[in-house]
Amino acid sequence: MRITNNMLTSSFLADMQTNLQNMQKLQQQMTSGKLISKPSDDPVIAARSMELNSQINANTQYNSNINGTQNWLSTTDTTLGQLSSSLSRINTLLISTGAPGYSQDEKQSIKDEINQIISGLSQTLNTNFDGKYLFGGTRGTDKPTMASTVTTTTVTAGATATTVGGITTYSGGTITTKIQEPDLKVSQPILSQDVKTVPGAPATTTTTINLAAGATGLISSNGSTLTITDASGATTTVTIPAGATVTTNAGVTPIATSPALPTGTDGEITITDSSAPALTSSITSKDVFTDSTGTTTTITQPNTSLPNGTVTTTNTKLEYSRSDGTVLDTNAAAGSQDATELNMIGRNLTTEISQGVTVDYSVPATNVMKYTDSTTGAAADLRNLLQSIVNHLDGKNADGSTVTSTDPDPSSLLTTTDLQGITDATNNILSLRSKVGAIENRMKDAQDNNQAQNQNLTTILSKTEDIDITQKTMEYATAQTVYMASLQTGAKVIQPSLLDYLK
Amino acid sequence: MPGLFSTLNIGTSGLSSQQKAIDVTSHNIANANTDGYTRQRAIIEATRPYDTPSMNNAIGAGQMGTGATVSAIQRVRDDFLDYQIRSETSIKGTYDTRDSYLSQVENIFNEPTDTGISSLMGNFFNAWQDLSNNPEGSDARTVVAQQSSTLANALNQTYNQLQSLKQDAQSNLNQQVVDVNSIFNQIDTLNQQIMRVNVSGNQPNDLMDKRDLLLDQLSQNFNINIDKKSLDGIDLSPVDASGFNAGVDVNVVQAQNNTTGIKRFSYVSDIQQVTPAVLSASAPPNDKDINGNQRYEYNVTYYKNGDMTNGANKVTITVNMSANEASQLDENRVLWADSTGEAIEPDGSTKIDGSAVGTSGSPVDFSNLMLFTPTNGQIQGAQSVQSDIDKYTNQLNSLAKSLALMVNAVHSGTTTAATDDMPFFVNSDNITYDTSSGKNILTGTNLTNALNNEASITAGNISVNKEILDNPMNIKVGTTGNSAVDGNIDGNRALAIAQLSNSIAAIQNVNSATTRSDFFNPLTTNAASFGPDANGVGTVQNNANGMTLDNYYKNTVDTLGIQEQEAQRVVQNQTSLLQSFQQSKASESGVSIDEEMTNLIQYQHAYQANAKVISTVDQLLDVVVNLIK
Repeated sequence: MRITNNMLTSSFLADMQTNLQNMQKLQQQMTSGKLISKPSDDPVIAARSMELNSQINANTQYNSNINGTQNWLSTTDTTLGQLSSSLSRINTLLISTGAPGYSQDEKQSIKDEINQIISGLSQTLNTNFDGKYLFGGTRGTDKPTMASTVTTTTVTAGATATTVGGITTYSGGTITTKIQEPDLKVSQPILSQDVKTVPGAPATTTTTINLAAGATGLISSNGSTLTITDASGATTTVTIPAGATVTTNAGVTPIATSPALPTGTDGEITITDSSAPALTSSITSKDVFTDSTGTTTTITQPNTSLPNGTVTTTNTKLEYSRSDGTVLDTNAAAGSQDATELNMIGRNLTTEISQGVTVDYSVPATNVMKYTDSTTGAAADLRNLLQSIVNHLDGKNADGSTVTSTDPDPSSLLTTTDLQGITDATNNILSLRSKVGAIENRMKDAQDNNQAQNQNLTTILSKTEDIDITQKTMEYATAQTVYMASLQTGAKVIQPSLLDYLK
Repeated sequence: MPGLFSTLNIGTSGLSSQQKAIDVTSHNIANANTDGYTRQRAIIEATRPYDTPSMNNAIGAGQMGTGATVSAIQRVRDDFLDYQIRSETSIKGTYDTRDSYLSQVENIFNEPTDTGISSLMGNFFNAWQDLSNNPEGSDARTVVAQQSSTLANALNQTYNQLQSLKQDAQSNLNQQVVDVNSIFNQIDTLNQQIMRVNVSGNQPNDLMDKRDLLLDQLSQNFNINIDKKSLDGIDLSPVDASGFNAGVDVNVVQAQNNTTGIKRFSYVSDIQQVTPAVLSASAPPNDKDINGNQRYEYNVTYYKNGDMTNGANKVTITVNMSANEASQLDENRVLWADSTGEAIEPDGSTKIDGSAVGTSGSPVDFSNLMLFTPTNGQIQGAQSVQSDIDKYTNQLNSLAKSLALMVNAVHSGTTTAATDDMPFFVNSDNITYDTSSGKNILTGTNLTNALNNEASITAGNISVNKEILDNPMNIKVGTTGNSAVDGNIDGNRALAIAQLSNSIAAIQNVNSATTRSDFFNPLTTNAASFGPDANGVGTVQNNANGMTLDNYYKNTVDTLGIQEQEAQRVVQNQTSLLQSFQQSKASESGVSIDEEMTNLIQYQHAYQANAKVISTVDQLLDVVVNLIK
């Protein structure tokens, strides 16, 4: 083959280009640490690398889901532990009431402690984690429970209570109703009518005047005053309300209908006035109070008829709370706000811990409350149990009504059904705790799995797209040597021609 | 028997022959580095010998030589090598162009990186996961809204960059049309000169070099066919001239009839469908394309010879074509034209000049447009790469639309767009928000319009509903979507949307007409079905024939990688193949300095020897002249 000068230079340039391209490629790989920088460098590696990166990205998210859930679960576990130790304290207290010779005062102090425990239970159930209430179900930004209304109702002697259709009407006397709402939010104070006084006027006012010996009484001609003159001649004037009747008791000379004076006999004069109307006030089962912002708040009170002269004592009740901070009516009709909120409290929270695997991780407050009575096998509720315990300690029936001859002895119930109930409720919490523990274990496994998978994926990714530094360094050294050699050759071979030797 | 003067003449002829040879040598040396130069060789022949046999010849030994002459200056060139180089150059031209555009597409997609669409999609779904865990506040919702907006913006940007890259490929085509038309004219001029020089009996070596150089250059644009004519003239035509009626001459340069009988190319600058749509008025079956799709009227503007600098070159015609044909024309852009640059019909003569159009009157049928579709060369590269860009754009559109339809369906819980009240992704084209409250609100007829436009969501116009961006609390996260019923930390719907990242749907079935109900309809698009998940949230049910959004996108990038890799490999192969042909050509036609120097010395010596002959004859003549005293 005939070789010309241009052939030498052009093939030198082409080879030099190839050398430089190889070196540039190696340099890029060495500086980026990756085998490829574009899909076209190696479509297979690029596709694999993208796939792995997506998987690692998703896995990292699952890991963060698992971490959040683990923290939530361990807090739930601790909280359930607190609940069960509270219940076990109630258990201890109930057993102690069975001791003979426990007076009503001692029972009162036990009841006071239990009332405090109930408040404590509510606080525990309202534990907040990361801005969410642990037991709040899907309504997690509002407290699920409240230590409810403490109601003290004092009815003075002389008032009568009539209950018609759930509405108790008090007549006579003074009724003071004091309602405490320890759980109410500060932003919604009840400003008015938390102390409600019913101005009672007696249906019948009797004024009795003792007449001293030798005194005489005189009714004025218009019948509006009674003037009494005693033996020394001093006078006392008593006003007779319009329409009132004046009578004398036995031993007193009957008063004439005319304005004649009774003669000085020892005895009494009674003025009976039945013309004034009776003043009544009613306290319904739900009184509506209005606060300063105009928001109406409904407060439930014990729907019990108060026997004449009864003093109601202070009790704490565990209740579900509505999102507005008032008591949630668990018996409300389906579709009502109360029923909807109760449904939310009863729902589980879900998270995804690996592709397509979702886990319910929350314990709703309703699951804590609901337990099965081991004796009857019926569904029971911790709220009712606690209420029945405090009522029994008050010496009343479970529903707070007065014990009649047909009702069982409240004291004996404390150590039987109530004690059994507390045991069942504790067992329920224990089973919830073991469930939480099981999920925690599962989360631990999921996390181990997740980390192992991440490790594997990262390793595979590294094997797929990362360079072998040693290999690339050697390749680069080789490429550099070739490049140097070609430069040297270029300098020596291209330069000379026949011209250099012609003189 | 010749005398001394004859010997003197022999010396003179030798002297001038050697001088001419030195001329040729020095011309070679002077052009040692000239592009396209072919080395030349002086062919020195012995001149006609003295004394042919005849009756009155002197009897003597043999014929007497009369010296030397340069009979020709030969161009050392191998035509077959030229043919090989040109056809390989055409192939390299295709892939050079494809490589240059596809590598830009690769840069646009920007994968695999932390900032590409794939990562952004991962972030998008992760944001929904976080929202499902923390649905109560506005922070996780804001993150979802912003991540979604980032993803939508990235899709918009990628789409727009692909569109401008396509426009770039079209202006590249326009430039090529101008260039090749100009090369045709230059070749034609040289062609005529070469023939004239040949007529006068000379060798137009350097002109032919120039013409060959131009032909080499032209072969980058498309594959050419050369017919040799008398007097070294050529007829030049593209190899690919399909569509013309039988017997139509498609020469772009020809030796005879070189101004009127030739063809040129024109460039289509604009294609617009007539609005409102007008059905093709052609009689059946010409009102439909070969696939049975309805043809509509389009206004097509082309510039004669691709010269857009002069408004007089602009011709607007009406063409009946289907959407597919319009996209074919959009990607092709180059029309066969007559010598004046006016587009022609398949008979090679009827002009499509926008007034009284040919046989079909106005408008003209697509089948009468003559598209120039070479199989190789930079023109083909720029044409084919547009269809690739369109393909990637369509895949990106399907991806964006599937994402929008799936997220919207799960977000609203309905597969009927019309019953949606808070679409998450909307079409940013032709959308109006009520801003009277100071915030963007989408209600009433505005909402209805937005939902009607949902079917035309593309990667270019996908965007997050501004009502959601303004108030992220509008994002539905709970089981029923009504937080008054679900509770404010119910994140089941957000979880269902996060799980769409693993939902398998037949995204490949989604096209520009697919509506939300089509997407879930087994009788139409059938991309996926819709049903409740474990938490009772209506969501996308896997379709065995489908793939995840991420996988669909990866396939696109993967295809791109493979295509670009092929382009690079072919370029590399063709470069080394061409390199070896160029070497052969350089070996054959290149100037070797050493060789020329050797020749120079050889001719110098011969020249000196000839001079010595003359000097010797001079001395002999001196002897003869001074013989008589």
